[in-house]
Amino acid sequence: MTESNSPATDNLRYLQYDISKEEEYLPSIRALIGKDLSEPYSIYVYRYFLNQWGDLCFMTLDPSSVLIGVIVSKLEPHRSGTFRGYIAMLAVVDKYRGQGIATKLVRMAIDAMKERNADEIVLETETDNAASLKLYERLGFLRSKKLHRYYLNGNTAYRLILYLKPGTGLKRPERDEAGMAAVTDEMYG
Amino acid sequence: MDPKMDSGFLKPGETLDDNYDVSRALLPEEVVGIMDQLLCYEVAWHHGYPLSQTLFTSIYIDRLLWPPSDCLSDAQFYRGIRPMGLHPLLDVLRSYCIALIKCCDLTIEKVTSRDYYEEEDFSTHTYNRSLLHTVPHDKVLELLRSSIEWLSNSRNRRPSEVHRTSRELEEALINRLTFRERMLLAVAPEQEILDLAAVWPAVSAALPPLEATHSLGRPVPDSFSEKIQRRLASTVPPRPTVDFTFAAAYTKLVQLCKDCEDALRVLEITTESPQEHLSFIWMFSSRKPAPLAYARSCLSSVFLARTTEGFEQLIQTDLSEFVFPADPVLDPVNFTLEAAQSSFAPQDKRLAMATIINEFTGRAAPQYFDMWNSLCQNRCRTRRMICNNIPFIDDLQFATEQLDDELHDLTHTMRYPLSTWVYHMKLRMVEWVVQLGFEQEVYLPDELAGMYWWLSQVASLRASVIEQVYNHLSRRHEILSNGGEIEKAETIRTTQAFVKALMYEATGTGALADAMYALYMRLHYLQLVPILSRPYSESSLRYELRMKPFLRLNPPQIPTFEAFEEATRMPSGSQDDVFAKYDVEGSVKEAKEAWAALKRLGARAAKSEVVQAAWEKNLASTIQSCIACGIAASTISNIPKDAGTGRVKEMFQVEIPGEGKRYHDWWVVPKIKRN
Ligand SMILES: CC(C)(COP(=O)(O)OP(=O)(O)OC[C@H]1O[C@@H](n2cnc3c(N)ncnc32)[C@H](O)[C@@H]1OP(=O)(O)O)[C@@H](O)C(=O)NCCC(=O)NCCS
Repeated sequence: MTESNSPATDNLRYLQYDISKEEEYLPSIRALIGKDLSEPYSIYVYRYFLNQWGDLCFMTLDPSSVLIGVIVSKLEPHRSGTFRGYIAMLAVVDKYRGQGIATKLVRMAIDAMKERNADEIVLETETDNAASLKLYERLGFLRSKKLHRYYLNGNTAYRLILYLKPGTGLKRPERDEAGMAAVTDEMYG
Repeated sequence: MDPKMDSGFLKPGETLDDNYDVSRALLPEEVVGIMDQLLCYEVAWHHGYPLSQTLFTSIYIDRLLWPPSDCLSDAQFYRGIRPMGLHPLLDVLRSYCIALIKCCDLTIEKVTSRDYYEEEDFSTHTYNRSLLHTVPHDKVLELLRSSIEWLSNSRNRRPSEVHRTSRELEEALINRLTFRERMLLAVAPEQEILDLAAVWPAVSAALPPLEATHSLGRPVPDSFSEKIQRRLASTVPPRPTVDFTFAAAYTKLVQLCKDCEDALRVLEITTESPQEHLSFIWMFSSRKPAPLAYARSCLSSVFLARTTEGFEQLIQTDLSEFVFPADPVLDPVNFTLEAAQSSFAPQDKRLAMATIINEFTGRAAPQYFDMWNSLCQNRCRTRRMICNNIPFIDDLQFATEQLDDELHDLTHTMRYPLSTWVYHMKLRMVEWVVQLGFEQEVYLPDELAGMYWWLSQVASLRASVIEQVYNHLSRRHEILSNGGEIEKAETIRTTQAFVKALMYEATGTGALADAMYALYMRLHYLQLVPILSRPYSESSLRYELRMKPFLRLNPPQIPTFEAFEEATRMPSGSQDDVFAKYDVEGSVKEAKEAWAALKRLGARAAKSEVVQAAWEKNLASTIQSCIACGIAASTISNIPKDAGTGRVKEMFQVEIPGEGKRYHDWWVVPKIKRN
């Protein structure tokens, strides 16, 4: 991508989502993320994440406050026994891509999850999404497994994981928390 | 309103009904066109897409299934009284559709009879529609046959009137019904085992005429509708129809038939030998393109359909193929003895041994089943399921040591035979996890050195375990032949050959892994492999994540992080020293020798006779990988001593080939070009 046809990135603003801003931002978040999905999520999926973990969602706005990038995540105890962060959605407007915007958003999400004591952060991405794999792997994520036909459109995914604390791999399920977290992962992964 | 989001809603003026008239007369070319389109959808469904996006978009299929009818005669394109003057070709189409639906019903039954993963492998959702489940398949066969007969007779009846093209078309229709008949027979449940081998070749033979006459058909796109999805009981919004071209579907169908045929070659394994089956299943699941869920279920429904006792028996056979050939421990007589009535009477040692073995096989059966079951899944699942199974095998080994002690008091066999058998299986599983990781491109380029280093350690460890077994067998062989027990000695000889094959495989794996490790270390030294900076992660945490499936194993204990770091740290020092330390050439030589020795031993000794061709090809690809590794090493030798890093980088192009672009998917040999 050449400098000339990509918009300048110096006047961009990054900010944390807040539920009080739902009316202002939710429609554009849906539009931005829905654009690259073959199967759009229902509004409940967005609210599921944003209403509970708005502080783990970050947005990039252009100088005229138009949303050009967003990351949506959550953090909760997982049935494996870890306190697990999960990046559910990430998107940057086409013409702003390749300038490190997504990288910055992911960094902000990781920092926020670290701050909140996450053991690990996981996500899934399609095996042929080169941009996504590159940006996560450059930051330190490893592929942990391949998921055959993971998406509804039949595409295969990698699960990527970043450990934040030693001993994460040795954690074990705590009985009473079994189930729930896993179910939601399957639903929205 | 976002139309993509809300595609379940109707546009203004739109109705749920399609205006297509299913009772309209069809031209024969239209019937061919519809049948071929249905075939494309059937194949797409076999590939994992739901019926709603494939076959259930057909208005004809919809009419047959809805409203539901209990008996075959009610499943018509109309409900109630047969409309006057219904075109007879509609009956032909109906027979085809009914048989197609029955095929789907039987396919679902087969796939769901074993473990499978909904949507990932296959979609069994029928949206509350019964796919003629209660209709016996022979009734459907009758229907098909009567349509074939009708077409054949009409052909004979009016030879002069019939236009040449419609002659061809009638033939094309017969071809399609014949194919459907054979397909139905192939998926039918009550096949005699002996007939099974013949059913798929018969389907395959019916395919070429379909391809040859496809161009005669005329598509009837109006008879398919995405709207039907909205009437199906489903929680997901309608999704686009999955369209395979006829050419693509045809190729995939040919492959499916071949895979089913080859899956059933498992029946050619006449012994109960688990090791023969293991080889068979690996060779089958390594095929490219990967066999579909249905083909895999053909294999697993033969092999996995055993009772727990069946698996316990299989473990005994497995033991007899490794640690206990012709061994008194497994003497069938032992298992027929009854416990002495009085507790004062001395217990029969043979009975005691049988009790120990029974306890062991009883305990091991669930884990043993899990191992086989994971090998029958799609490859991604296989890797993940083995990861999950390994800790249980570890527990099993620990628990088995006590049984070994008890056994030792009763017989002079090798030390720890049962736990040795478990240990060997566990080490093999660890190797599989790592090798499937290479295959599935789970490891990034700068992780390869470390993962081959670990693989090399595991395989070498396994080789040493096998060596103990081999030595034990050698001793027994000597004793038995000296004692004139020729038959038993011979059994041990055969087992020794197999154990030797295992040994070559383990040493070959270890040595080649070592060569790969050394090669990547040299490449790191020359800075020819990109290393990611990873600002958010520490190498110790990455090591923990990589080793997660093995963290708790004991044995083998995973290397400490310090040892791993020592082994994979960027080499420093003079090039000569570094190249001497990371001896690619020596390890390649060792690897080649081991694989060549395995080749000489042959498929039969390696218990891979039924899949001999695939076994040989696999071996040849492995040997190719050894050679390529050696060539890669020699390409980067002879670098002028004064060449700085910058110049070295300019001198070479290093490409890490992805899955499918390697000689063997387990050996990621870099392609290096000197500019
Ligand atoms: C993935 C996505 C968020 C990346 O946004 P971005 O702001 O362009 O990302 P960054 O600039 O931070 O980093 C992307 C990197 O991938 C590289 N890249 C982009 N396309 C690539 C391709 N086809 N092959 C290889 N690398 C590619 C970029 O050049 C950049 O690397 P660089 O910094 O070395 O040049 C964006 O492409 C997007 O919105 N895609 C659609 C939605 C999506 O796929 N989301 C992720 C699903 S989890």
